[in-house]
Amino acid sequence: MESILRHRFTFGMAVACGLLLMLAVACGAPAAPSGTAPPVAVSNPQPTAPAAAAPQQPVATAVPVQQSQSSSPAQPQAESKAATALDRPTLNAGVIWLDSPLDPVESGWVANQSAMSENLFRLSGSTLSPEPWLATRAEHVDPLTWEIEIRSGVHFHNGNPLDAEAVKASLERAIRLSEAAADILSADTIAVKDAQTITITTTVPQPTLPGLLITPVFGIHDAVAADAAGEGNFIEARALTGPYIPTAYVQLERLDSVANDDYWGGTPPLTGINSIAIPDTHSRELALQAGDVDVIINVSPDGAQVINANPGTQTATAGLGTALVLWWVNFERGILADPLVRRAVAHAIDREGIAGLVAPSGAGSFAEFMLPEVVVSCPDVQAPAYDPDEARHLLEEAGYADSDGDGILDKDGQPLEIIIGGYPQRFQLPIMAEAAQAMLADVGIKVDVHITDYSVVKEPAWDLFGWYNGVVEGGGDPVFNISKFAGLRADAGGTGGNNYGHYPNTALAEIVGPSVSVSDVEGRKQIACEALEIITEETAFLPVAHMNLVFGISDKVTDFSPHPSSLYFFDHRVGLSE
Amino acid sequence: MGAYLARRLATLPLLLLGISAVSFALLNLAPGDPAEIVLRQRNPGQLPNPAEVAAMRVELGLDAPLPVQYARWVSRALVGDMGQSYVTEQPVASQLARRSVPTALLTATALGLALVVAVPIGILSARRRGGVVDAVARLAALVGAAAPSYALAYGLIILFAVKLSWLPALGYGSASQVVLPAVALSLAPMAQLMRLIRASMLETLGQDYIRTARAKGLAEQTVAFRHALRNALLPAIGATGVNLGYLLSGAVIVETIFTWPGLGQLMVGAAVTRDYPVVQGFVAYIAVVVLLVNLAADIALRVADPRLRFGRDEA
Repeated sequence: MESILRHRFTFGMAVACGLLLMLAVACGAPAAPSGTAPPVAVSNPQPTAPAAAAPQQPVATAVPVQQSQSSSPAQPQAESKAATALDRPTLNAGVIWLDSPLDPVESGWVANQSAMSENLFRLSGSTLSPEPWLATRAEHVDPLTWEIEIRSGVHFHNGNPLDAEAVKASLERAIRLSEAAADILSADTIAVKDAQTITITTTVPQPTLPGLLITPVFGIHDAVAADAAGEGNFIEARALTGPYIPTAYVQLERLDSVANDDYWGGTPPLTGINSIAIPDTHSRELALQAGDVDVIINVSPDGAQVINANPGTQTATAGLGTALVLWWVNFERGILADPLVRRAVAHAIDREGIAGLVAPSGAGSFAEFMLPEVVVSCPDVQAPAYDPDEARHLLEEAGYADSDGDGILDKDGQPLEIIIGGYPQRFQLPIMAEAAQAMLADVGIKVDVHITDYSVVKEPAWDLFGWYNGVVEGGGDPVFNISKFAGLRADAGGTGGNNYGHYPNTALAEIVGPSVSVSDVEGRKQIACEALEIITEETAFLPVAHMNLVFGISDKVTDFSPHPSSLYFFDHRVGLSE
Repeated sequence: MGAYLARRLATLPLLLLGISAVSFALLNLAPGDPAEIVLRQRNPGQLPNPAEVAAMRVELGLDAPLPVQYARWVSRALVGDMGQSYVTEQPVASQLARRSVPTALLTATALGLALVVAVPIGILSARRRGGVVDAVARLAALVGAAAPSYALAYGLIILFAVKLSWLPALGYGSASQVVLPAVALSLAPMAQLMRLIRASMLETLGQDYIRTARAKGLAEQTVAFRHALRNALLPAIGATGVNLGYLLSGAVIVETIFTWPGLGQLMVGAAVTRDYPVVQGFVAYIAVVVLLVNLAADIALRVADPRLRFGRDEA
């Protein structure tokens, strides 16, 4: 054997190289290599469902549920109904992550974003408030009781009808299997009133319950079928109601779907939507430009310029920023515990200028306050304006002076030095930190920038900490979102565990407390404005920008309606021209 | 050869233990609490409260001291159980097995490409030393070795996928989809191998036995390919083993850019999400592969070069 190898070595080396290459290229073709089938991938046939039932127009309610707007399903699309599945194209999407299971009780975000899962209520893309979806009406019967009417003519993907019993079972399964769901809803009982009506009784007043039901974990599913399919087999249950039916899912890699021709809002104009996880932002943007995908989620400001300049592609955004980049302010580390220094820091940082860097036109807007104006507008509340002179004055008043002439203020021999923390996964945070570092140096404050990991926010190792979070949760309820940041909500760490800056929130709690009995939108907005006034005055947080969700789309994509939040990427109308 | 093989095999478990212990310790030094990350992934937008985080730490076994956690991992790994992913809740071993196929395909293609290009050009460059071919080859090798793989990858996508529309920018499943990632991955080892073969060939061509062959009146082709090439390629065998390690580490970046569903992409995602069992499993798996490939390269070298065999074990 060794002899053969020795004599044939030279020639064999070259032949082996060639064979290796040919083998590799030849092996590159398998659609599903033998023995490598994804463990969670399950194929489902295209449904042969009966004609779609006529959808009802959503009905407005007397509570903070808004009249359904343009995003609600219209009349069935007769022309597209006539088309067979084979006539229709498939849309390919490049998303950032496909990281959650499809079963709503295990998060539900991916199924929700991919137009597979639907809730009783949906977040309106224009008003950022709840609108009826699988529900048609919600009535706040008393502080602890809600009555919800269920849409008729809706079927799960497996053909079973959606009725009150099914909704009850779905919500009860969510509460049983998800701690988050149980915390959010605080339901005492869920009862069936009639075939299409349920009654939810809560243990504490929930005046914005329809908004809470928007959370993906409350995606309505056929609980019996899901339980019968067993863990890890959710696709087989065909337990959702949306316009697309999942057919294969390899978590973190790809998600394939086919159109639900029995969809209550009309037949989708696509054969299906296939989503691929492309975590790298540049790769996602290049894949769109190369035509490998038709839609991409979350385009960077630089990428947006290239995509708009590239023939055949463009960006799309709803133009509303539903995510907030802000700095937590640490009240316990000493330096910023002094309200004068906090105020000085707020005046010394040109937040609007920084917002222009991290959220240029089309990518977001300056966040004067925590919440975007579409959620709540408080004209009487004044945010600290950029005013370095006022900052210097406040620092002087606080007892700081440059006693050694090194350009850094000091007091009792201690230099005025703060740490700005953050994490690298959100590109805005390092930019914000570096810009603020230069601005604070102008008024004599030395800044160390520590970009590490977001869990560091729980450690007492920073004075300002950059953060990125949604601010339209709870159905866009302003009180919900303020309470979440201030650690006043039970599901957000009611003990203050998530009040990362240790903001003393007693006064805020007194303002927010009465909101449990206020269900009208204006009343809650008034409470939110009072809350914003106190947290702005005390510089509890330093908001910088509201970030838009920016999509990149091919010109071939039709009827694409970008939603401002990351709850929904697609709907039943999106199509693709040849 | 037998004694040599036994000795090398005996050191493998110790090396693996050392590598896995170091990687386990380093992972746990990194900032970020996996329990919180898992909760945030399961409930995006919800800030998990401390009680939930504490419960999740118990569920994941992270409440035990680090040595205990490591001992548990080793005892399970010895029977093929590398634990479950925190994110997907699937067995790590099955994820590694599934992801190995695309990575093996990519690295084999890249390695094959590197050899197919580097061997003939390296030989040609040496035989025409100082000529145009040599100058161009050396310049190309310099660029190939110096350019970072991520820059090459993006450059290839922009040129061949976006501008020319000849090849897809990403994906896995067809022959055309392997071309760009394999080229991006192969350029650096290709350049290194080419320079190595050129230098080795030049050295061999200056040996006495080559002068003797020429003095015997043998044709230059015969001298080069029958007498010089085998010895000139010996360093390339060792370098190929080392290059496989480079290819596997380079695949981490290339797979991420080309959305190639291999081990590299799995590793990046797991590192970002602090999916410790997957990262730990990946490190151990890659360590085994690299050690075995280097062992195979050493054996091949000893088979091809009698001096190594008779000079040590069997002398």
